[in-house]
Amino acid sequence: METNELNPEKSLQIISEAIRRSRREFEKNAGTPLIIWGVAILIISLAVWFVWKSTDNPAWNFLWFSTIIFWIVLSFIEKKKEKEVRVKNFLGEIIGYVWISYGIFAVGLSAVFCIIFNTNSNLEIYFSSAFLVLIIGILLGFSALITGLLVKNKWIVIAGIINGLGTPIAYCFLSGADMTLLISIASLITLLIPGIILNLQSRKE
Amino acid sequence: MFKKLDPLLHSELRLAIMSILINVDEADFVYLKAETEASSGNLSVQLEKLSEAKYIEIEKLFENNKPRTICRITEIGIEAMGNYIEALKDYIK
Repeated sequence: METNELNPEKSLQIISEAIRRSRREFEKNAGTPLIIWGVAILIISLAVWFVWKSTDNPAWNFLWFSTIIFWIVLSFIEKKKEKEVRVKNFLGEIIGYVWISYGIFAVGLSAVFCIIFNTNSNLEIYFSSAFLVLIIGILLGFSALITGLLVKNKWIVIAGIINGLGTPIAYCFLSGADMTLLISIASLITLLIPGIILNLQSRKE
Repeated sequence: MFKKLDPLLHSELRLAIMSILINVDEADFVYLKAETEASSGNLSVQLEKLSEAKYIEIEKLFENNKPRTICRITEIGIEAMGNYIEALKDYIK
């Protein structure tokens, strides 16, 4: 590219091309955080479901605490990637913040519930554990919806809405450990599959 | 009456640099060179011109013992790009 003078059409072409390239740059591996979160939530929810079901003890819900391990793994990968990144994009940063917020609430709420259970024996632990799953499910749908809108991916938007609205509906019909299975399905349709689709799309381009 | 196009932006390479930087938080020299396909010398000169006009800020640092030049658009640069696009609209109409 030279420092030649331009005509207005060429100027517009340069500006549009820069926007297009910037979007393509952002889409490179944009699905990776979704895949990591998807795998994390899938593994944790299946583990919670399995031990809750087999022991009939809802206290196992505190396995949600282990989200923090995946969070550390994700941060480590992001940090490593940052060293190789030659351009920082606002959009990528915003999506990162959305999922960091999700992590804060998922881990924070588990901690809050844990403290409440240990200090207030009058609380119905069974009800409260399912309620924790409900909140995590709504937050998952909310975070996925924002991500879908930002990356302009219809699949993630629809999955986020279904997830966010479907979780409280399912809460009325499902009980106990089965609630966590709902989160497993949600992580699959709102995170894992869209993450894989996003990465495959960006590689094709 | 057509608005005057900013002569600093009305050049292929400088406009490309500004268009990239307005879309990102920051970009380094290697990225800008690859995206604009400009020579290192030419790119350095144009970055310097944009920096002198305070349209961009340039940060030079060392990472893993390698020099790295990071560029960011400034508020003045964003305003200049806005004015440039506004002026362009007159020509396109």
